[in-house]
Amino acid sequence: MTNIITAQNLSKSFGSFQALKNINLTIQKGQIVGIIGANGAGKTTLLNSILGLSSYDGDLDVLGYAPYTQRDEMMKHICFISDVATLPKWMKVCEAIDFVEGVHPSFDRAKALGFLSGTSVPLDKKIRKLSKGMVVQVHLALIMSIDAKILVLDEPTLGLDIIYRKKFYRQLLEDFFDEDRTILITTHQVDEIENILSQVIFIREGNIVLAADMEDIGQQWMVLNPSQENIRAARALSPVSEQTMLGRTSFIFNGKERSTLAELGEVSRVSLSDLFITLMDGE
Amino acid sequence: MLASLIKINGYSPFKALMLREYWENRRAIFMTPLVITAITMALVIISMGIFGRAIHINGESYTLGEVIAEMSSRKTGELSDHINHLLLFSSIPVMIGVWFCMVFTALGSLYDERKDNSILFWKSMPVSDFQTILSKILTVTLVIPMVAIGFTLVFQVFLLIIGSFYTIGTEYSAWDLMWSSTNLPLLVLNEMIYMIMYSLWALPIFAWFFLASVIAKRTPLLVATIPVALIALFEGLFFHSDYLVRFIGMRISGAHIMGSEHGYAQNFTKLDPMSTLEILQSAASPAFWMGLAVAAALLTATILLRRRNSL
Repeated sequence: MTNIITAQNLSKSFGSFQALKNINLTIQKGQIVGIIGANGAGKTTLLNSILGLSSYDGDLDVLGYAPYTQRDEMMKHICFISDVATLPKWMKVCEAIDFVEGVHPSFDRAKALGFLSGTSVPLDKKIRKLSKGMVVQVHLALIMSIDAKILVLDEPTLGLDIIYRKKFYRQLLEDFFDEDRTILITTHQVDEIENILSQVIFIREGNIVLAADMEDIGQQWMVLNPSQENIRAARALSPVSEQTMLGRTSFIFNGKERSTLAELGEVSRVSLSDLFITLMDGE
Repeated sequence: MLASLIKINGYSPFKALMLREYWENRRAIFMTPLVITAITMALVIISMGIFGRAIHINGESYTLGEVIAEMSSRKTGELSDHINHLLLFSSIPVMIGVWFCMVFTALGSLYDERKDNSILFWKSMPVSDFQTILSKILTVTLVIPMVAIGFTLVFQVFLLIIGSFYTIGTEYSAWDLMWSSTNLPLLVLNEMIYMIMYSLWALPIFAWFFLASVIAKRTPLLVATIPVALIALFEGLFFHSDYLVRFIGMRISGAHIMGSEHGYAQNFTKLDPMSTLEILQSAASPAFWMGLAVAAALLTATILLRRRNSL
């Protein structure tokens, strides 16, 4: 496997506030990586550093480029959709296609038009006139028609309804992703991307608290729903967290034998959102 | 040819950036001079209707026939001077309108993209900040005025045609009177050189607008003007001088090329090829190059700030 992103002692400060604290990170080719953290945890700062949108301290290597100083060259191989609607509102859809064709050496116009023909997006309208869902479709069509190695999505589905969100991720998997490409996603709707991620990185207060393959997480972290009489025994096994809801108590364990837990009750996979809450609450 | 020029066909980043500027600033580049030209044409036609065939010069009324007779009695050189003056002055409304377009396009150039967040889209594309800003400054200082000159040419031809109509039914030839006494290509060439030299002299001012545009959190116009006003006030109060105001005033008004300093203006309107040369000669002065150096420094700062201030 090849490392496409390597960060060593990556830091970023805004005045006295340290948004990233000596982060070490490697991301390999062919992964779909979820970057998860609370608001202000440093997700966007990390992505901005990777995208060359802001300066940073430490070493960062993205596809062999130094992002901040070589952004224009690097961007030939990276696509980016951010949380806010960034397509210029005064531009017509067809002008946006023209522009990307002009500046991106590996843009495939036919492909973009193909994607858009499957939607109701009018090509001669200005972005301003389109609905929010359509704007995202336009952006996605542009991005997916670029033969890029890395796709960075910062809250890509913010403000979209559930139908669009589902469609967005389905299209991403079907039409863009393959083993030569890598996708980085941040989102608050953790549940929606849980099934498509291959790797997850939890960020808290500028630190990486957990970076692991989804498979490993499934083996390492478990939820136990013990029967009423086994609660005390479960507690004795030192769970990472305990939660009581509607009279049912559940525990999250890290690195315990599945068979040991199964004796006390029903064992299931931990969901990313539960894991997220556990990691954010912990000390 | 024009169609292929404004059509993207495959990878050509700088062309795409220039086109992008055109799409964004269609109003400043195209609509403003178009509208002004249309309005002035309409005014000319309306005033013809109102004044009929009489023309008022210095409070005395002449019939057009008299004016034409008077014109044709002038010496060729003198006549040609008058017509060239007229044609040159006819471009003033468009040029004034376009000047405002240049200023406000410059002020908005790097501010609007931050205001509407589209900077994140532009920055997700493989073009450098240097290329982007180059495309913007070229649009402001070259594309906008050159398109405007195209419109003034249309208006000048329109005036000559109108003038020619008046010779119908008289013994005078429109060709001799109007068309042969001016040299439109030379006039346009002169206007172009004039505009380019104006832009180069005024470049530090426009570069300053760019810097204000990249810095401003809101209202780039105030960011561009208030510090300058304060420094000028400071200079006046404590040093009893007005270098800054003169520097800005002369450059933005085109004083260096109008020749209000050196007497170029007279030569310019005579449309003598030498006068074009003299306009170009203003580039020999150290002040010209000092201005370009200031502009380069301001634009470099702008590029660095755009690279940093992406959010």
